[in-house]
Amino acid sequence: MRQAALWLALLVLATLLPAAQVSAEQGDIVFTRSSKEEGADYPPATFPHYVHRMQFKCYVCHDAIFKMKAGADKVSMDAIDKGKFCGTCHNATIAFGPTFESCQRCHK
Amino acid sequence: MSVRFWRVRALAMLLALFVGGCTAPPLLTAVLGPPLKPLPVAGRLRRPVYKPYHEETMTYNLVPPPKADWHAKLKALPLTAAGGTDWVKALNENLIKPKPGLDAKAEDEPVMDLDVVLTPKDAPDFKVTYPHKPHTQILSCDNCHTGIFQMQAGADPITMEKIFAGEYCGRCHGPVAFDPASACPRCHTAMPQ
Ligand code: HEC
Ligand code: HEC
Ligand code: HEC
Ligand code: HEC
Ligand code: HEC
Ligand code: HEC
Repeated sequence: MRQAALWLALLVLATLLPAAQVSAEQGDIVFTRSSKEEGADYPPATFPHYVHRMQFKCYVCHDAIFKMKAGADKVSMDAIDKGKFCGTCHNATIAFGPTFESCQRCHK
Repeated sequence: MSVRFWRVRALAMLLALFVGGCTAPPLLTAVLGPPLKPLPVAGRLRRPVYKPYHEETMTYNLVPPPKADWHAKLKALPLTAAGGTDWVKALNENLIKPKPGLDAKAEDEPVMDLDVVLTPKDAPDFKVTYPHKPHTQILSCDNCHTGIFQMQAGADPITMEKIFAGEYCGRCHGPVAFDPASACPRCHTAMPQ
């Protein structure tokens, strides 16, 4: 019961705070670089969940293409070019491919 | 062997190369047919080897691919009381139609309408109704069972602390699905709104 009271207090606090920081882009995943040799200073890739979940159910990607854990997959441009990870779709057929005019759409 | 022999041999070889070089192409075409033309590169565009310092030259003269304004599409979706996107409503009102697979013939995974009620022992007011339906509309059973949850009501020692630490419901609720800190009554259905 003591714990419940504590949580109730927390709840009151939560409602007093301005509408919690749920940004519209909740679910964006910023990758950490896994390969070191090439382009260490190139901006990291960002994966926007919202763009993809409007078009695909979660099980299209999880766990067939990606694990449900940020940083669990060793994604690199080589793998993408070979049609793995993002390259399953970003291959100029299902979605735009990694060409020089599209770099900034993933690397912001 | 003498030096002279090598000189003669070298001269003869040069002569042979010269004569051969002038005559061989027509000879070869006669034997092999017209020379092969380079084939056009079929299929998708290729990314040249990445060189950080040549970016000015790489981007010149290229037309960017058509770009959909995904952000505007997101803004058009309904919001929850807490201000986030209401994905459940968006799906049920057919505002989004996420595909079940990459193949056009892919079929939806089965949807299961089963509510699991979990009642914390020391805080019965915080009873949780876990609805399978909105989850199985977009997730497959394997996404949760048994990597995250046992297939038995009350089998997992779930607490709010663990949820906020990213375990159990917090695997998705927080990083991708609605934030648990912002909407207690969505899970704790007995709580006042
Ligand atoms: C287009 C593919 C795609 C779709 C569809 C997709 N995801 Fe993801 N998801 C990813 C990628 C990529 C990652 C990052 C994986 C990595 O870093 O190795 C990820 C990571 C996650 C994570 C871990 C986040 C973290 O911070 O650890 C969760 C949870 C998740 N996804 C849930 C979902 C849910 C729920 C849905 C359906 C509403 C969904 N995903 C749909 C590609 C997708
Ligand atoms: C579909 C999205 C996407 C596109 C388009 C894309 N990349 Fe990437 N790129 C990634 C992801 C994901 C990673 C792995 C995570 C990271 O290191 O940031 C990556 C990694 C990289 C790396 C780190 C080293 C490596 O090879 O893994 C470089 C450099 C890079 N990309 C350059 C480029 C360039 C140049 C372009 C345009 C020709 C481009 N990328 C287009 C998604 C993309
Ligand atoms: C299941 C297929 C699929 C996978 C896997 C996938 N994408 Fe996409 N992605 C799409 C489609 C379809 C679009 C929409 C294409 C468009 O806008 O032209 C898209 C769009 C995008 C956009 C454009 C957003 C915008 O505002 O224009 C980015 C960025 C992106 N994806 C990054 C990634 C990255 C990074 C990965 C890998 C971690 C990835 N995607 C994996 C299908 C996929
Ligand atoms: C994503 C769903 C979800 C949301 C949102 C959520 N909870 Fe919970 N909560 C649970 C689950 C699941 C349990 C564990 C139930 C069980 O198995 O006993 C729980 C348990 C609790 C308990 C019992 C003590 C404990 O820590 O286990 C309290 C108190 C509680 N929640 C308060 C809150 C408050 C306050 C909020 C809003 C800030 C909140 N919850 C938001 C899912 C949620
Ligand atoms: C988003 C995660 C999630 C998905 C997806 C999911 N479940 Fe569950 N399931 C749960 C949770 C949470 C429980 C309760 C477990 C607990 O209390 O420890 C549960 C419990 C169950 C139970 C036991 C119910 C009872 O009353 O004892 C069954 C049976 C079950 N799930 C079947 C399925 C099937 C079949 C699917 C696929 C159609 C599925 N689940 C998909 C989260 C999920
Ligand atoms: C595998 C990822 C995942 C897990 C694990 C998960 N959820 Fe969800 N849940 C979602 C997604 C995705 C939605 C859609 C709403 C959104 O994205 O904001 C959702 C929606 C909900 C909703 C809203 C339903 C509605 O009709 O509005 C409730 C309630 C909920 N989850 C409770 C829980 C509880 C309780 C648990 C833990 C026992 C849990 N979820 C675990 C992904 C997950």
